[in-house]
Amino acid sequence: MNNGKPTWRDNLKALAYLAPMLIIVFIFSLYPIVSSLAMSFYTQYNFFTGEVGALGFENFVTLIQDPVFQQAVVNTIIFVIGVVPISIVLSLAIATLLSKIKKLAAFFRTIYFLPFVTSVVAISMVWRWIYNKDAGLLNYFLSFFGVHPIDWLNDPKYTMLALIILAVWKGLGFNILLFLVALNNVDKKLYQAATLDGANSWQQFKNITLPMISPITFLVSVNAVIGSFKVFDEIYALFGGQPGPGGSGITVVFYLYRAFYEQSKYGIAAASGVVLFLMILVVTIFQNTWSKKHVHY
Amino acid sequence: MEVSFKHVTLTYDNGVEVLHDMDFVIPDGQLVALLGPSGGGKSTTLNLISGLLHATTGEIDFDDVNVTDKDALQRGVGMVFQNYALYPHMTVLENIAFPLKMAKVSKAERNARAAELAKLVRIDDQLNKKPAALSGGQQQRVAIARALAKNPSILLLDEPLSNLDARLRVEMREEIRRIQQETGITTIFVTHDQSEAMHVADKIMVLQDGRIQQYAAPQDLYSNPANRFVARFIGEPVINEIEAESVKDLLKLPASAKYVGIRPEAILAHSGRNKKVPVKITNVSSFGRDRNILMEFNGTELVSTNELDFEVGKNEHVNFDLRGVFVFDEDGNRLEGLAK
Repeated sequence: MNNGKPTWRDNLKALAYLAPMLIIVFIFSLYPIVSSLAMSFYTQYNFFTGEVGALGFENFVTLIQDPVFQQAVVNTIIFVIGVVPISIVLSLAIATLLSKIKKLAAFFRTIYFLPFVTSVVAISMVWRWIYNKDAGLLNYFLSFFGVHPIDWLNDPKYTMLALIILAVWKGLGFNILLFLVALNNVDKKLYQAATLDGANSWQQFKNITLPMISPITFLVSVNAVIGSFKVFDEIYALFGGQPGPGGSGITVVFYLYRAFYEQSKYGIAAASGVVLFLMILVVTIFQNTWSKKHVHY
Repeated sequence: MEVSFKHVTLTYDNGVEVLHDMDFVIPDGQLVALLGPSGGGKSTTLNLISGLLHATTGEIDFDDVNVTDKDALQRGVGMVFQNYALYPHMTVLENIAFPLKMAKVSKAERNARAAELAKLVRIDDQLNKKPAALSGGQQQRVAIARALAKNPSILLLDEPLSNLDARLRVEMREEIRRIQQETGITTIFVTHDQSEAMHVADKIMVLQDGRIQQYAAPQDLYSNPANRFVARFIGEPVINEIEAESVKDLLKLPASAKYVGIRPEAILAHSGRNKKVPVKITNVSSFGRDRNILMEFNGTELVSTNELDFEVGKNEHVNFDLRGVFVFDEDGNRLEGLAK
């Protein structure tokens, strides 16, 4: 069975085993992707009858000229750039500290993991209170440093910062967990060898830990980039269904949501989805190229 | 560099004393093997020398310098780990140069020195490969080169040959010997394989239960074991053992004798006026140039490796060569005063 060339019979057999999963993938993944790509080119379209009146690039032109969409793209990029690096550095730092302590490690792991298993809506409720201008915990702490009360939820200048803080905090637990697994998988003998070779803690971290956990760092960063590009529910819940004060927190997915559900511009919604897909694709391709040089499997 | 242990003990955090009163000197420029069964304290002793572990009591000196409280880096030892612990993301050259990089040696200089060491351990044709692309023997060579890179005071090897196949093991033990002699560095290696230790070491320290059983040249361990444990541990096939009671008519034994050990090559065909030892031949087997003859004496099975012209099932007579016969008391201590 395991040697020789696969025959047609073998291939058909394999296909039969794979069929159930393939059918699900086709119906729920490939078909929607292809049809939304097609929909982005429908300029005259009746969503309910499925009638397509005309095709063209008009949807994309409208999008690019729409100042709200431009802001959505800028906000999305700010969000990704704000969340991903901070999230990775912070979770790696916490994971490294957690891997060093022996007592209470499980307790702290649970604490850090809680945000990940709690619903976004519940978390956002809590953060609405933390961000409150007059009674909020954050302003209370900031007052110790002489910072005047900030109206986090109503001042458009602080919308993105408030979102980034929330998203970093929420993503920590899962990333810490992944980093902890990676850190524990590094052969302890390597550290002994490095100690004998004269490497101090920081040199060991730089020369051994970082390269050895690079596959997980890569996974975490790709995952965080894709997740951050698709940010929606945090905004929806934190600002009560609105994209921030005066639309200051609008992102591409929020724009898509509004175009589709509130304005019934299906072609525009599909086109913004395609733009988001291209943005993610470009960044992921860049990450992949970069990883070839810096990730050690 | 000469290493001396002065009444060193090691007690773990849980209160168990694992090394008891270790007192020995490893002379400068020698190759010394720490030999013993698992859990005997070999690796622990090695880690005490390296500075990865610290003695609970006693003193460790390198030449005349007390290093008891110094850490691994200050002691400047080079170590080869059992699984080699090569850095998987670095090339062979980078691995060897890593200790020099940590010592802030310039890039050109450290690469030149690393290439030189690679030549010494004969791995200079693989410099740009990653460890995963190397065979076990090649990884071993890289690990030795890396350990030598910072001109260590002492070279320590933890079970250096245990991950290699039989043929490579013979090759690498000769290589370790060659590298040690070319560099003249004091080398200490841990092994549980007595033939490995016997073949390359200048001196062997036999350890069991955290105690030195005997510390002597290889041939002395074999021909003059200090106790029953050493007699049994050294030698292949294992020494024959008989209750002293059953040979008291054949040999003149000290009063407190309990066990008599007889090396397989000390069982000879009966000749001359020696006392006859009656045996029944139970099996004759050959392995290449080795030949084992199994025989029964007084209910005890003995093995001889001599070319005896015996047939299976026959009753024959043998006698013992006293140079290969040792007497032990109840506690396994060696007794003198053996005679025909």
